Amino acid sequence: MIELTGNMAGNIPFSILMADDDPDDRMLAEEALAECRIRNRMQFVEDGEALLDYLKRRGRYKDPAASPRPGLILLDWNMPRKSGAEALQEIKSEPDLRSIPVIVLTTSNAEEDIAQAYQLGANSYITKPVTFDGLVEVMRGLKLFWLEIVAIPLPDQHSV
Amino acid sequence: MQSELSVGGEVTNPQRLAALKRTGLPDTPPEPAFDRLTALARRTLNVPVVLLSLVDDRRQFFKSQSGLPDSLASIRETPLSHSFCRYVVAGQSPFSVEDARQHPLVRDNGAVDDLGVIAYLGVPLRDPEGQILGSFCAIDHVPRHWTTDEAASLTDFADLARAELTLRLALDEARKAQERLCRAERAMRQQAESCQRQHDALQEFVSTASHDLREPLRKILQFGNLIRRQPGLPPSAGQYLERLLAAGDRMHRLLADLLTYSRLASLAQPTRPVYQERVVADAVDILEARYPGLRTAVRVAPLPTVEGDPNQLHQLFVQLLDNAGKFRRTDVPLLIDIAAEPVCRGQVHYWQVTVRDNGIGFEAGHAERIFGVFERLHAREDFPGTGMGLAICRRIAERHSGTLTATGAPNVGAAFVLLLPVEPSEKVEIADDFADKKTNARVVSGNPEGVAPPPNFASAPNTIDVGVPTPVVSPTSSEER
Repeated sequence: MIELTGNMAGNIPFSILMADDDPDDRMLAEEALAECRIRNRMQFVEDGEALLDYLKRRGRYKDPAASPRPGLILLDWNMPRKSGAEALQEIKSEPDLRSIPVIVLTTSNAEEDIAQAYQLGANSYITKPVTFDGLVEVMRGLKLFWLEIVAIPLPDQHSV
Repeated sequence: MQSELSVGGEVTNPQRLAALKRTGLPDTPPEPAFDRLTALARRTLNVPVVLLSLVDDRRQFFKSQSGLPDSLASIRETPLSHSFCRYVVAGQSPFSVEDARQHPLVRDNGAVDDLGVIAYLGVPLRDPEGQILGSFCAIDHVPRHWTTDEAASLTDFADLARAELTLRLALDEARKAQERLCRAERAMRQQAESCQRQHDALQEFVSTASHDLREPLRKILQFGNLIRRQPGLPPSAGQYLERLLAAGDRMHRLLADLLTYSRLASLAQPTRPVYQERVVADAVDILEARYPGLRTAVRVAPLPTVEGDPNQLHQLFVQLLDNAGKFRRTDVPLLIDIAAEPVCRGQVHYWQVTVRDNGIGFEAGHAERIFGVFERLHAREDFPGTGMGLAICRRIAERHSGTLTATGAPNVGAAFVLLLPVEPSEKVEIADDFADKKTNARVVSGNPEGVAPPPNFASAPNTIDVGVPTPVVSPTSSEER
């Protein structure tokens, strides 16, 4: 069952799932999200493989309560084991998963990475800013756009 | 029997023997080209035997023969003791014998009894340089008076043989030259490939290094930012932190420019026609915010359309204009003239585009130095920048098979001269992974085809280069050349 969030998305706090192998970046992202008062639950995975395990509720992500289906995915591009590109490709080829907006958040600003990301169905591509203030700005922008302006499909939290 | 020494020095002349060897004819099988000549001469002169005889210091070798008995025809040589031809060589002139048995020079020659040589007429066979190789000769088994006509015919045949030889040697020489050329070309190609590989490896290294170094630097800056937000930081610690952040920010810009530079390895393919006037106008628009009044300061004469990478050329003009704006004089209004004219350099036609300003200029001796990587002529606090701008410009020009040079005079101005070929380069360079246009930190949303500002926009004012901190305290150790 699919619910729609409207401009009042804040009322339905879906979780945000971030896949990034760098603990510093995960920490900085969490700080920046807190800084701009995003109250959505943040979940973290360390690479593309863990991301797919999470989304498909495999292994240690079996429990839907502990691993709720995210409303938004922040995806690092260069990760070990399974890269952002590979993970994105898999997500977008799964009928069940492809409606989840994926925002690529990476250090790369290489033109071919940007092109490939959109080619594979990324919903937006953001190069990680150099400063923390910049990162806060990005998160604020994300909040404004994805949590307030646009409507995104929300799955039943208990569906698989 | 006569010893060969008595026939004179020419037979054993080392230069002659060397020339004979050079012909490549001794000990080679019979060939139709020469056999036709001896057969034709035999019919023409109506004699039983005609020989094309090559004389070295111990034997005569018949490169071609017509009419010899089978036994001798298969051996194709005799010792000099059985040679009349050696006298043609020794005398370097025709040698004619009516009846060998009566001739003082050859009556004891082995050929008289063993081979039945009674009458002999031989004319010199020479190589292209005139070195005597042997004799073209006619032989009869009975006494014979040789007519002038016969001698003339035989000389003609000898000349035909020489012509054949000349052609062969020339052809041989051409083949050898071609082989040498091929070898040289192969060697050159290998060297070029090896150079290219080294260059690629170095490029990859610089690219990876500057990219990977930015990663930890970003953390340093971001955690530094977080520390700055902590309340109750002692003032001195705050000041150190600002210096630390300023230095980190500078390093970030240096690495960004280095990355841009290293990524300019190749011209993005395919190239497109680039309307330079448009490119310049865009560059002026972008820089107007940084240098108010720039639009009126720039005078642009008609500029040609060139074949190239529009992003790189845009970047080049942004950099040149930024340079003119940055190094303007404070006491006179800034003027920048941009004009183009066709020129010819070494048979290649170029557009020469000149960007001339009335700024602070530079000493003539620095005209090359300013294009160096990380090269600066001024203290950083006087003129900001990484010292990469002109290096990037020159690289772009070179990527377009062109050049970029400069002239200048202190407090008069500087002129940057860009040469771009009129005809696009035929050299096709494969753009490497990083060769395409790059952009700096920016947010791209929803529209992959969207705004793609060219690479060096890191410092351009309209870039969404999110939050590079402005140094509160100028770094102290900023003195550079």
